[in-house]
Amino acid sequence: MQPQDIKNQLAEFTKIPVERIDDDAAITDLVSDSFMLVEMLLLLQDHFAIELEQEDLEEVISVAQLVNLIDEKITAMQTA
Amino acid sequence: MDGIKEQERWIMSLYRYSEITGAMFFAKVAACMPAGPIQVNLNKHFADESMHSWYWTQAMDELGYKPIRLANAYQDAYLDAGGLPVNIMEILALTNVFEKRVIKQYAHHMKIPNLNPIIKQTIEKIVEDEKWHVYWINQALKTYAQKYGEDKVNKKIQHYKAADESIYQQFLQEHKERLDYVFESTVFA
Repeated sequence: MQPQDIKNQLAEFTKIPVERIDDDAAITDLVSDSFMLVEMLLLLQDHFAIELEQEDLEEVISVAQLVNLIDEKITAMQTA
Repeated sequence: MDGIKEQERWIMSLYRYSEITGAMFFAKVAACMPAGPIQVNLNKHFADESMHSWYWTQAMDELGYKPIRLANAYQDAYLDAGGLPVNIMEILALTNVFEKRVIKQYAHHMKIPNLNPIIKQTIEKIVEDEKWHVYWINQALKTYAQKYGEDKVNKKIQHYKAADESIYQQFLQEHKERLDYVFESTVFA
């Protein structure tokens, strides 16, 4: 349920219907510019009460990778 | 338009666009921030950047210069060289470095002999605000140092300082002819 919830948040922010967000799509394709990407990442952190750092995103290119990263952060928060 | 005036028009356009870009960035960050002292300061920061772009627009209008539409803002290079900041601490560390660069650049500009009083007054007004920006960000970074550890915050600042240095050198190389207007008669540090 968690990964779907994360995708729903991406859809809400980008206004792209969730069923049209491809897991393999680059996250930079979801937003129009880097400012919007920063905004999206800040809102996701706020929504899921997690914290991301620049290093966390070094290997993240696709939607699936971002969803996995956030999922892991949520799980780590819940088990801490 | 003679060479100096064309260079003056270009650099004023660059300052103006850089302030517009700063305002747009801080508008987005301020909109995401939860309530609290940092939100208040971020919102003021956003308003200041917006006003600065207005000061440059007004100054150019008074001097009879039409702003040049630029493809990229100076800040764009930071995201390429330093990577995307993804939390508020990282955003503030990047901004701390950038604001100091802005103050330095304006200080160079102020050294131009017989600087037009309209430009001089515009820079003076802006630099007052920029000094406050550095102050409030330094204070905020101290609070983030309690959360992340001083070492982590300092490392992030150093990371962006290294990026800033390379960006600035590249910028000077790329626009050497246009920037001669600023640096020809000033001491470059």
